[in-house]
Amino acid sequence: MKTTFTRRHFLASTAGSAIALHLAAPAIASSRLTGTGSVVVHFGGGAMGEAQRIAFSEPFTAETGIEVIHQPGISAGVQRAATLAGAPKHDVANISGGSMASFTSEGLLIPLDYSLWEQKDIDSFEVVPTGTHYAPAMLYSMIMAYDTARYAEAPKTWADLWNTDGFAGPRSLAAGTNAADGGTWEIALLADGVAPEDLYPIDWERALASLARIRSGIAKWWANGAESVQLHLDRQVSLGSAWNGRIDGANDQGASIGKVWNQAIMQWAGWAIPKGAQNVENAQKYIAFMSRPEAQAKFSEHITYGPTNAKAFDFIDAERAKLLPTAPELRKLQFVQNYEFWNAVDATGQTGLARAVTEWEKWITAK
Amino acid sequence: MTTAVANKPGDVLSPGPVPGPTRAARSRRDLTWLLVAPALGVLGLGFLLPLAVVVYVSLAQPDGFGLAAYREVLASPVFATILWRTLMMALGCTVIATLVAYPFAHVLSTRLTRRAPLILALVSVPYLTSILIRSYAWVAVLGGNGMVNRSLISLGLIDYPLTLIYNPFGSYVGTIHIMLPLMILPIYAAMRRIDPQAMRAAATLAAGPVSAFVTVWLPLSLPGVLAGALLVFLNVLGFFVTPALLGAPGDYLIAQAIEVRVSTLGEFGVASALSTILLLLVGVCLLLARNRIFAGSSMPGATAADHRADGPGNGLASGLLTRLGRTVLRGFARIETGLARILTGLGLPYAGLVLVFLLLPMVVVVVISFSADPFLAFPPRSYGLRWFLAFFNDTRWTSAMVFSLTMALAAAATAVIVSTPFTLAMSRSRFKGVQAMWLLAVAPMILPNIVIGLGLFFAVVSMGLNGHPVSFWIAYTTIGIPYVVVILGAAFARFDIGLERAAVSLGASPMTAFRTVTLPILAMSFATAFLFAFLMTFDELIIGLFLSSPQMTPLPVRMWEDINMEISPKTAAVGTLQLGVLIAAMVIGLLTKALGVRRRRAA
Repeated sequence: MKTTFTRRHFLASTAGSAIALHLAAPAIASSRLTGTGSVVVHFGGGAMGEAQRIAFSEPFTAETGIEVIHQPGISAGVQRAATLAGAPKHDVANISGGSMASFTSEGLLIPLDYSLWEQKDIDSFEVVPTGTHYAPAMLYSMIMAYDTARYAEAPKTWADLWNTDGFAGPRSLAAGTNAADGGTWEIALLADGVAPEDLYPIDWERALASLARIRSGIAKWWANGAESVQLHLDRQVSLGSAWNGRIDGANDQGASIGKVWNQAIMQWAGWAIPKGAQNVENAQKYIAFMSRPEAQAKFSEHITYGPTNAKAFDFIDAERAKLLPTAPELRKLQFVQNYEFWNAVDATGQTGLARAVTEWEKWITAK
Repeated sequence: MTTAVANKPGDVLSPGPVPGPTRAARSRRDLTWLLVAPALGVLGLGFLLPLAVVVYVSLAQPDGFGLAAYREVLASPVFATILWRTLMMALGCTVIATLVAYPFAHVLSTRLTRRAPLILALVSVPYLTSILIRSYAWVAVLGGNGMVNRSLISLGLIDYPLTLIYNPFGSYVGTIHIMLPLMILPIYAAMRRIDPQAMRAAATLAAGPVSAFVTVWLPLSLPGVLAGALLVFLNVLGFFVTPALLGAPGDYLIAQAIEVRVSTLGEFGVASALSTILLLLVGVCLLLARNRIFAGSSMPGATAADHRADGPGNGLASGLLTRLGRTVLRGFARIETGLARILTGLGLPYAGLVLVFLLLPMVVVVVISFSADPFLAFPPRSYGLRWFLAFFNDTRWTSAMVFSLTMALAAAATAVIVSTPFTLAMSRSRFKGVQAMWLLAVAPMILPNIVIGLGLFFAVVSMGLNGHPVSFWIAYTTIGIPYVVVILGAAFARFDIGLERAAVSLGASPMTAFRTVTLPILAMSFATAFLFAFLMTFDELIIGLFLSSPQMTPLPVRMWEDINMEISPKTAAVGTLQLGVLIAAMVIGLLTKALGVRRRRAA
């Protein structure tokens, strides 16, 4: 962490002077983020896109004069290919915590310019600290979702998802090929009685043995987040894993999907600037803008993803705060996923992510 | 104009006097090259170059080059299992689609000829919406809360929903639904070209209706069946979204293994090796199959006139069918007429059922598009124009629609323009490289789009075309070419070249003969080819994700942006709009035709 800070200060002093020169020219000198031109940013679409537009993009343009162009988000692999080819799709990319380490270690990202940030904001990234190459964008949780109409008594732990006598009905978990993001490997071990602090390194054999016990009860291994919630909306499944924000999104619109926070897996995604980006300066400003507590608070008003800047809670309504994964009562029920494990190379020469795919393919095709 | 062009590509068709055999052969070869050059140019840029990138990636290692990725794939029993299952799924879907499509096309071409254009347009409707919403429509029909289960529950037959999806049944239903149009249209095109006189001739020779069908109709429609089978088989190989969304929890296909490696892991080496192996394996099988089964029906080098003379029975498949049919039917000669009558009676209800099957999901999509609900639910709880307004109020969506339409139309037109001389050259010249070229033209269908997209993207960036519409034009034309080549190949194979020669001998230039004789006769096949090239590119998502930029984002990518987060009814609204445009275009077409007829009558 110390080295990080030295680098930050170094960057701050060099980049700061450039910004000062730049600011001498334009008329609106009220914000140090003022600029010209445009910036192409990852766009989540749907509810997340709405939140992003209202909380970040529109106020950013109003304050800085920089036009924000929303481009659909792409998978980590397409992003990697585009950056390797020298033509990344976004100036501001959104990369899941599980993939961030490989982007950093491969040198595909440009260091962030923290001189554009307020020092108190840098210090307020409590759950996941800022990195030299990325700023944590949002915190979300993989929780248990259940059919409130079906069960009189709510399930309490992942073990209940395995308890087909106590909780009858079809179930769903993420396909194991979703590796870290899907959370299925951790969930299998938690259900088998492993404590959160003993989860890593993942015991693949034990996890698969645990999954084998529930395999016949799984109606569908979900492939993407939209599917995980749609399965509940259509009552195709009664119990399953899903991201909290998506469940709240559906419930806000009239669904009544139950949520279990106990043993939930807290995950995060970060903002970063890929090498070869066309509008680096504006990208730095957009990311700095999103680090502000007011902006993050507004974002969390529109989608229940937790702010990464803890100061944002000063601006969030108390009732709303209770729904966010980083609310104190919820935070203590969960653990943060260990992305270091998922990106480390194991004895077979694979990263945890690649190993999960290999193990899953072997298991799912064997009958 | 016509005479100026006449000396060029048309000459290969000309039976005119030639000075000597050697010079004639040479000039023919030159002309063949001229005919195939445009298509080869597109395939070179849009397929060979990306393929070279992919092969390079599959061989690249941190310390130089090697076969490690191939070793990993070949040593793993998992890949063999996945590949085997994929092949079986492709084969199963091909067989079922053939069995469903053949009688349907038969009814359409013999008894519903006047309504056929409308029905065929409806048949292509399943392609008018995103693959995800199409699959969702099946969930709405077959799912736990779906139409079928609701009906059963309200009838008191069951208490809790039956599992009709998330099993092999669901996977096959969803896949065959999308594949049926690919099967129906080429078969229909082949059947339309069968001369009714042939059947009448068989009848006068005292053949019963069923044996006339087996000995005359079946062999003559076979090129269409083979073309359709090829399209379906190759398509299913690279298919995974529908089986992944509707199939059993354990379903895992080769395209999925490739997709996970590229998308989730960003590990391109093994994915590239896997695709190269798939391409080689399927390529070799296709060449072998083409030599044996396709002989006499659409093999390049055998001219249509040749097998007219030999009779329809010289191909292995058609020969076997004919012989088998004759033997079986000799015993049934007496009940033939009765059997034929029963089958004829079943024809129309059967065609109706197939249409219902094809259109049911689209009906669901149209209903959902008028939903006022915030998320997908069927039936919707409230109705309104909410999602249409959301579409029209968002210029990003409307401009994506315009971009997609423009690119898909341009690419489909280009694919037909470059593939016509290409296919013509293959079906009419005895040229050695023809087999390899045919394989090259259909190969883009074998390689999963994510692999083409990956290779193409690197190629496009290195050519300085990143963010340029030309990159889309090349990519879309490339994925359109296989459809055009397969459909036109079947058409040319059964076309009687004598008709064209007759026109030439009566003084028409070869180009005029092609335009006035060949084109009108094959119009149905050209329309089919264009339609598929258009639909396939209009619906394309994966390559679009690689090539898109703020200035050019195709509609499927916009839909994906939304769906990635939540499956909203907006996508259904877009599908309904597309359906509306299609119906409007058809009504205008029918009206102009009707008006034209009236005017001619009045004159």
